[in-house]
Amino acid sequence: MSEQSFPFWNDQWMQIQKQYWDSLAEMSRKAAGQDATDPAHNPMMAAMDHWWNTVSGAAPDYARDFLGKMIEQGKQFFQLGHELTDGLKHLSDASGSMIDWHEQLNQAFARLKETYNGGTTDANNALHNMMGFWELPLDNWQRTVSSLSPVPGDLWQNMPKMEFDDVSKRLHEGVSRALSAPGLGYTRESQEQYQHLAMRWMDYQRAMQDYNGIFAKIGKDAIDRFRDKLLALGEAEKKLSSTRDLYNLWVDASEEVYGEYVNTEDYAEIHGRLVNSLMLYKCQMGALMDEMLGAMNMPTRREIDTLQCRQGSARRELKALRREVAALKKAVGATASAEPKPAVPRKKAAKKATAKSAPKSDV
Amino acid sequence: MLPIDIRPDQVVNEVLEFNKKIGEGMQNLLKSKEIETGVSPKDPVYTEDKLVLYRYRSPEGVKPGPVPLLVVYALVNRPYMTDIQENRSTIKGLLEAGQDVYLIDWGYPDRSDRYLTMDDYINGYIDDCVDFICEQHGLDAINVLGICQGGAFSLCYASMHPEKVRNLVTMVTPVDFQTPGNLLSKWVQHMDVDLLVNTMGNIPGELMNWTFLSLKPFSLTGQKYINLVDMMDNEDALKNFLRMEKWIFDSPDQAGETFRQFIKDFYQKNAFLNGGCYLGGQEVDLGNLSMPILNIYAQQDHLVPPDASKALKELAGTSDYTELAFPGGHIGIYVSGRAQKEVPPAIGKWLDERV
Repeated sequence: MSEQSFPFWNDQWMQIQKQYWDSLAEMSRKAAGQDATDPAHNPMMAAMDHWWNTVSGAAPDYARDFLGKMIEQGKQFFQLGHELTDGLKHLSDASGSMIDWHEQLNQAFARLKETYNGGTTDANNALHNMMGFWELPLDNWQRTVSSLSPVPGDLWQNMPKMEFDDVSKRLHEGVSRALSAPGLGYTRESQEQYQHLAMRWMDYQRAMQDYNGIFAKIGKDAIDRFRDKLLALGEAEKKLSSTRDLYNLWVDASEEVYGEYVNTEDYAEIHGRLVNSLMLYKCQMGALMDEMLGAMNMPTRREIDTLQCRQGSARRELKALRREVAALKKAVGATASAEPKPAVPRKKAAKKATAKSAPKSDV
Repeated sequence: MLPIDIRPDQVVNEVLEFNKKIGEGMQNLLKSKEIETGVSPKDPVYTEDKLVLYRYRSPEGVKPGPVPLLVVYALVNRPYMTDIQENRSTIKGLLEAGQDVYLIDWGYPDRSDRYLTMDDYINGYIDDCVDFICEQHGLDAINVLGICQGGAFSLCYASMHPEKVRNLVTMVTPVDFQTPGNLLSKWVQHMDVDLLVNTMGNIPGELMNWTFLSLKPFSLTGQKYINLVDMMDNEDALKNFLRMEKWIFDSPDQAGETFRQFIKDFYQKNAFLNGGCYLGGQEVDLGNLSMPILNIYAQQDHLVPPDASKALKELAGTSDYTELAFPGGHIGIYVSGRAQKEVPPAIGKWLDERV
């Protein structure tokens, strides 16, 4: 591929991009006096999105996902830089006393925390994207669940929060009563199976909510820890002079808080419940699938498991027998070689023995 | 003093620099299309089911010692970590130290392997490999090097067949599975392992990945990719990163029955310390380890904390026990520059002293 045909390393393209960014910087400077705190209008993020959308088409398939991860993280760390610098932009006008910058920093973090608590209104969608950083472990879980089950792991993720809570509450308090009612009539058994499936799905959702709850706490505490670390830096007369430094401090704070939470008995219990409830749901789904396969005269999972188990036992027995035969052969060989050699050739000795009417056992 | 000194134009410059690095790095990324791992020449010498036993070729001019060394890697992830690239290879170091190296590649278990038990792996596969090597070399016993979970398997094997193991080396091997900093152990205490295995059959590699990434999620799934941008312009550094990335996500599924027993016996019951691990009807007792032991652990290991490995000292029955502490992490012990210089030569020297 020639250099000119590929925008990633095309000098001209980089030049154009530089001009674009320079104009953006100019725009940011001009906007400094205005109220530019609306995160939905963060020019950095918009530009980053624009850049990525333009060039990602040129990336080969296998690299697109990989680069996408970097861009996503890049967006989050530049969003962080933007939010904090924006939040602190009035500091240069402050008197410079310790109280002033402490207060400004506290206000900036209070805003972060408020956004984190506030859900996903249009105004703070962009900032929520940054907060998505604390949802990385959840995102990992959802991807894992997606790979283990036909149901997407993020099935309920995009449902508005209040509605989700409401549905969840109704499901658990009201619908569960209905689902517990015994089935009737000819389809009683299968009806009961589907009721069990629904109950197990609800149990999993409840466990997932509790798991989410832990990460909500981690997110809030990580904001506090981040602020504390910044305050400590300020008091030690140290400065962060790049967004990357700021991001690294943010990661340290998050990892620290996460480490404390996941080392607790509470977390272990919720983690166990999350995995167990998903398995119960999946187990019930498997049972229903087997019912359907059986009805179509197809081999079921349970049948194959049984066959594999029996085959495993048979192989184990066969292997043990082979070892036993080998050991016996070895023992027989050792016995044979340990026999005292006759002084004369066997045939001759036999003849002699016959001549002397040797006992029959002597062969 | 205000701890943040970042002007908007600085942020813009950082964004530009970030994108520029990605742009330039793309060229290197495209060149790195095929990621090669496992660099030392080797030959398959024995196969059984999905298992392949490899023998590595000794470098020219190096005459291998008389007692071969069998490397037993974990079932989790792939054994090419020990030979990941030319200048980062424990295997290469061992060969250069004059060892005649064999390695078990377990392959990728599928549903047909769901009922493979720990007994099948240890008294079956490992024992078959040891018998094969003994027969080839006309020996009664060989040296064994167990890594991580493979180290735990090697401990089980050596304690049940001490007459076949001349010297035992364990690397980042968990013995006490319930040390205070062991997150994995904490997390599985409330997990219904029977339900998990009965439902899933084999344990998917994705689930294992999730578990390991959850140990440090922000660094391992976020920060890592930001740091990568800085090295994308360096073709070699990028290739190193991609090899590691491949290894991390190249996770074989775990045979269900083996996973069940390993988690229940070791992570939940801590059986090396408390007893209760039975293989083929016989209880594993580390007191039977009468051969010389070299126990190597990593001081910054977040998966197998040092105390988890060092517990072996009190349990092994041998009077010839040596410990080697490496200043690095669970992976760094194979791939760091320092490890290349220190670890394989130390193993070679220790073994040579016990021929």
